[in-house]
Amino acid sequence: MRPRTATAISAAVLVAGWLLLTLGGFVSDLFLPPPSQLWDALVDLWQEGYKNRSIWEHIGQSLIRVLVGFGTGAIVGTAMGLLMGYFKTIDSLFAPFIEFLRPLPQLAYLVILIIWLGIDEASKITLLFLAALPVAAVAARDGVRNVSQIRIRVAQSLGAKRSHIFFYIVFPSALAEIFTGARLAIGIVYATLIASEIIAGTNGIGWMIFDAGRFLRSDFVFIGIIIVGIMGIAIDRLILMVETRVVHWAGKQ
Amino acid sequence: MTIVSFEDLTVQFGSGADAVLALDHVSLSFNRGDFICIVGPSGCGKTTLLQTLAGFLPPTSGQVLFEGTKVDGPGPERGVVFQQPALFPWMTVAANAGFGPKVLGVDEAECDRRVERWLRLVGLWNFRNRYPYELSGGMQQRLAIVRALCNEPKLLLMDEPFGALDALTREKMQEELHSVWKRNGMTILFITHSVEEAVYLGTDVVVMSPRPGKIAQRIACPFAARDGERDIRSIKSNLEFVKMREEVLSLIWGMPHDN
Amino acid sequence: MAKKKELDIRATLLGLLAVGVGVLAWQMIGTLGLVPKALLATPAEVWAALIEILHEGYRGTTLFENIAATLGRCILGFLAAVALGVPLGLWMGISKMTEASLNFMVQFLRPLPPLSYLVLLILWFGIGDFSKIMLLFLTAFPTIATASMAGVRQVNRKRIDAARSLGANSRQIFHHVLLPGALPMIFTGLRIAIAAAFSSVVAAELMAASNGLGWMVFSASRNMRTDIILLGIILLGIFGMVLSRTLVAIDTHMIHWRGYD
Repeated sequence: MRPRTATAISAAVLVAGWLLLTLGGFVSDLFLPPPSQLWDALVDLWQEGYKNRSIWEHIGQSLIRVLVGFGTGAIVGTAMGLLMGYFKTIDSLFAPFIEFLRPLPQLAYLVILIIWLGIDEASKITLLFLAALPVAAVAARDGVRNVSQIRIRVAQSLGAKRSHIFFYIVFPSALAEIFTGARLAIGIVYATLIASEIIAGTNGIGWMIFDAGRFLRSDFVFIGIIIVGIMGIAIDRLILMVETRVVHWAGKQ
Repeated sequence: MTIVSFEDLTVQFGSGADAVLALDHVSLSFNRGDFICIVGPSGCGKTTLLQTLAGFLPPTSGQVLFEGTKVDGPGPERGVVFQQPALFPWMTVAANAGFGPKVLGVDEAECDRRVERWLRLVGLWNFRNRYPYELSGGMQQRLAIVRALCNEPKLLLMDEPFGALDALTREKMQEELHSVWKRNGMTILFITHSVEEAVYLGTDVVVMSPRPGKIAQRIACPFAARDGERDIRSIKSNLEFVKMREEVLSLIWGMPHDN
Repeated sequence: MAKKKELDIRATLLGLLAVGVGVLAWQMIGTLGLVPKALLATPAEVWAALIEILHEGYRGTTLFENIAATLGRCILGFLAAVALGVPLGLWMGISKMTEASLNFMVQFLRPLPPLSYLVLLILWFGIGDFSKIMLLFLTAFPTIATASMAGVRQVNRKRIDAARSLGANSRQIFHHVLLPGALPMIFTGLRIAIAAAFSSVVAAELMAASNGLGWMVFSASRNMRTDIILLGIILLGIFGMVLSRTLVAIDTHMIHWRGYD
């Protein structure tokens, strides 16, 4: 049997199971909506939106937050990481804060951010900024540290000065790890965003899932989850595409 | 015209009981236009010798003089080529080749001129817009050499540059290097594990012995001075060549080896 | 050798200095009234809150109870994910058919933000601990399974061939070549997974719990007790570091061949 067939069969079994459970009446529609109900809900969302906002508005809100939070956090974090990789003193000074911030559950400090910055965009974007920063910083720092010594020596023998070595050798060399860090960071940012919309949101796709849940509209919840999943995959793929084009030499010898 | 002089050079790694004497009061000098091949068993200090001349390693005592001045760090007049090409994969072939002149501020037209000249010479001109990872091992190593040569260094330091290549490519590179050296009147310091390669390429073969690193013997070699008359096979099977090769090999075999 | 030790000591001292300056600045901001009292508790106040909670507990829960609840849920969910994820991942790495049948589900789960399906889990399983532990399991599982699968796949073919020609059978090859070969990647996955699980448990507690450090922070925010909020955050940060460092230590200890290939 070819692998593709196995996947198809597996998926078919899942769908069959779903149909059996719902149409056979083994589970209530609340637990697991039948396909027809999901379809109706999807059409409804498409046409009427959710609570007076179109579905695209909600998706757009979430995406903008992700992009702004990730963008600022990744850029500042990468800059910090490059400095930390280059200068041991800067590394020693910043390291405790980065090491503390990185494993700190983001939602925990959302609470204090809301107290300081209010419940609107500012606290959420700051949260996402802080979620992305340590990951980007560590990736950039490690990228600088792992630059091949032999390439630096060659460049020195060719007469390159420190600034040349940074722009032409260290930075391109570190890009591979910087991008790996970026993908990790955006994953974290995305999860944090959805979580923050659920806990303290008034719009956005995460909030929609939560709100639908409150009203026991599990069909909307399901659709919301699927949308969130697709968005997540799309974002990851986008960064991967950029990465393959920019860091075109990665993995090749 | 003396171009390089190692004067009573000692290089020690570590200190106290852990100290390793990589080079022990080594003295050696050679002239412009020479092709000095350094051979010896592992641990004899040949790479360390090159590293001090390249400026990557400071002497523990003694000094290294280049054109009469103490070596104080790496510089563009002493180009290096290592066993791994260490090319810059994010730059095209042409950009790699032209990197040296570019950072030295050579004007663009001259940069391009040099890049074209050297890339054409080694047959890489048609690949100038490709990336290093698209090239074969031999081509990559050629590019590494071209990259060093575009800077028009007075001295070329090569540390087993052909070590990672297959036998056929290796011999082709030997011939190419020889012709480049001859035509441009360059000075080359060349480290190799292959005695045959050393005897084929060098004006002098310097044999080093290990633990601690010292120069055992310096042998003048006639084969580098050849004209284009005889091909590589007839030279390498020539009786004189074989005798010299065997002589050097016996010398090395008689030494303590790194285990 | 001595130089490295010097550098390490210097690094540690600089780090302590940075933290010290940070805490001092924090205390000063509070004492000097640069920020409204309601918004920021000073280090002294946070410390006082710690003492208070140690003695009197917080709203009927002891500090220990809260820490144990959070860590317990996290570790339980994580271990369940390891118990299922590693074997499954390895199996998917070895058997193309297994991968074809199961991987698409794992890969759909992976980019899904955990809180998005927490809502669903609560709908299904109610608001108790089970749905939370299920959440953590689902958070950690795809990363671990994927890492295990990738780990076993990238084992150097030559090592497998060498073992085969030495006469090893499939079980031995798995035990002595594939599994150790996959360990570095598996552990990298474990480290990412535990961080994600820890984040998720706190988020879940913020949303729907009656104990745990996350709950404590959430509850304190309702009462504007910034001292307890900050205490909670600091404790969470410390335990986050502890979890991650523990895993790193196990990693370094077990995988002594890391970096050599």
